Amino acid sequence: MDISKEITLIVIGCAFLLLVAIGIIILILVYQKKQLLFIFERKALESQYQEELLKSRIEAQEETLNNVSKELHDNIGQLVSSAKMLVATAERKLPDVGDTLHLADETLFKAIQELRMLSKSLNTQWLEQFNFFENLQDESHRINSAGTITMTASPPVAMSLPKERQLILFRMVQEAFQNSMKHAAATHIHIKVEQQEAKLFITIEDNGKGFDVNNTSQHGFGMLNLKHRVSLIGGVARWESDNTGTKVTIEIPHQHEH
Amino acid sequence: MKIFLSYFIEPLSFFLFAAAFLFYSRKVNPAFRYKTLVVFYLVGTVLLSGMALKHKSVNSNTYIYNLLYLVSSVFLSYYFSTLLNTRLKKTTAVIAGVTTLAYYSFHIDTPYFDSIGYVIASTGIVVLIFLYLHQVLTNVTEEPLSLNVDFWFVCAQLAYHLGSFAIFLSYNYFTQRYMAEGKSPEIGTILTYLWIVHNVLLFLSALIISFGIAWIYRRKSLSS
Repeated sequence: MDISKEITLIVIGCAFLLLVAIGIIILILVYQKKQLLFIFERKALESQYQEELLKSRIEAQEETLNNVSKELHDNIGQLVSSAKMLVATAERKLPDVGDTLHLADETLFKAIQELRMLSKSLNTQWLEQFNFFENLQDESHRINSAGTITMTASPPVAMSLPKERQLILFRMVQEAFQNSMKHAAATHIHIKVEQQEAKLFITIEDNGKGFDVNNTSQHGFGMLNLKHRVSLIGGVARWESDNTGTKVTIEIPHQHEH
Repeated sequence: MKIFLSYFIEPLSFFLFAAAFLFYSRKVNPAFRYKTLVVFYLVGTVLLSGMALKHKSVNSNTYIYNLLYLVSSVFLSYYFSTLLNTRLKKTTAVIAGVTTLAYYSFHIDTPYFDSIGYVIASTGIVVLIFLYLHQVLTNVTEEPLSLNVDFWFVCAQLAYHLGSFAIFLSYNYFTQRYMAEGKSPEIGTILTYLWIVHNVLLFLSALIISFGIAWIYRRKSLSS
């Protein structure tokens, strides 16, 4: 074999090995790209599924709340109204009406008022007629009228969220102050709404006994519900708590209408 | 051209490696773990440039070549031992490094170019490269491989070591013939050409890492 043939063979051999190396590199890059595409598609499907699941769960909850609202209004409300009418009749018939009967009449009147407001605050169709701040004002009036707890809210800010999102937001705030009332034994709740750049911050702060945020066994259904709802509108919820109270911050993306 | 390819393309390749890693650790990722690579390739550039400039007067430069190759092989074994994720793979990296070190402990200063040591080291590194590629294929992460500097460095090493493994094997065969045939000029020419092909592979490997780092820089600049 002459020298030029040997050199040619060496060059061809090395070129072949180099091509093999380049081929391996390209194959790996293509394979990884396909795998990544597959992972992203699977993740997109998973998040779509989660979103659908959340939506249907929230729709089911709304339906339950609507049913409760209807029952309160049509059934219990009617029964209490009938009771009030009977008391009123008794008052008219009796020559000497005692204080007890007057008190019963007033209590029934308050109960009817409470029931109506509660029924409205649970009813989706009713709430959708008003914006977030109007609903919040009504709710704060309802809670304050009971006299056991005071609730204050910051003045409204410009909000261009669609009705559906405003309702979700209102339900979240409801969930947060229900937690404050039920579990924290709070006597005061303050709700603040702030807008910073393209985000809306809603803070619900109470003066209750607080809880251990890091202890998951203390996270109830209300917290879970709130988390589900906030994730549905692409936001986040944070809890800060100590023995002087709890602060829930809901952060949601928000864009102004121009 | 022949002299350039035989002697000067090597320090140029080392310089490219050093420049690429310097750029990467300065502009792309200041937290890069292997900043010592810049020092290694710069020292290599100086030594190889010196050898290239004095190639006519120096009879044997195998000592410096062996030393550079030993350091780079041991570093690569260490590098793969940190990169690979299973115990078996890490042990393979350690074995590859120790084998090369053990061989060169007895053959660091040889009268002629001892390519067997290079074959041993390259074989070990090629095995480690395939173990890494296996790891990459079995553990797909969300970060694209093309944005991973380790991947580009391993690709550069693959291009160099896969080809140079065959070159070193042939080199050993022709060196033996060269000695047996009383330093035949024909065999000497083949050896020179073999070395030229080796140098071209080294240069291509430097181009791969430079391209990879430029790619990472471009993509990261676009995304930020």
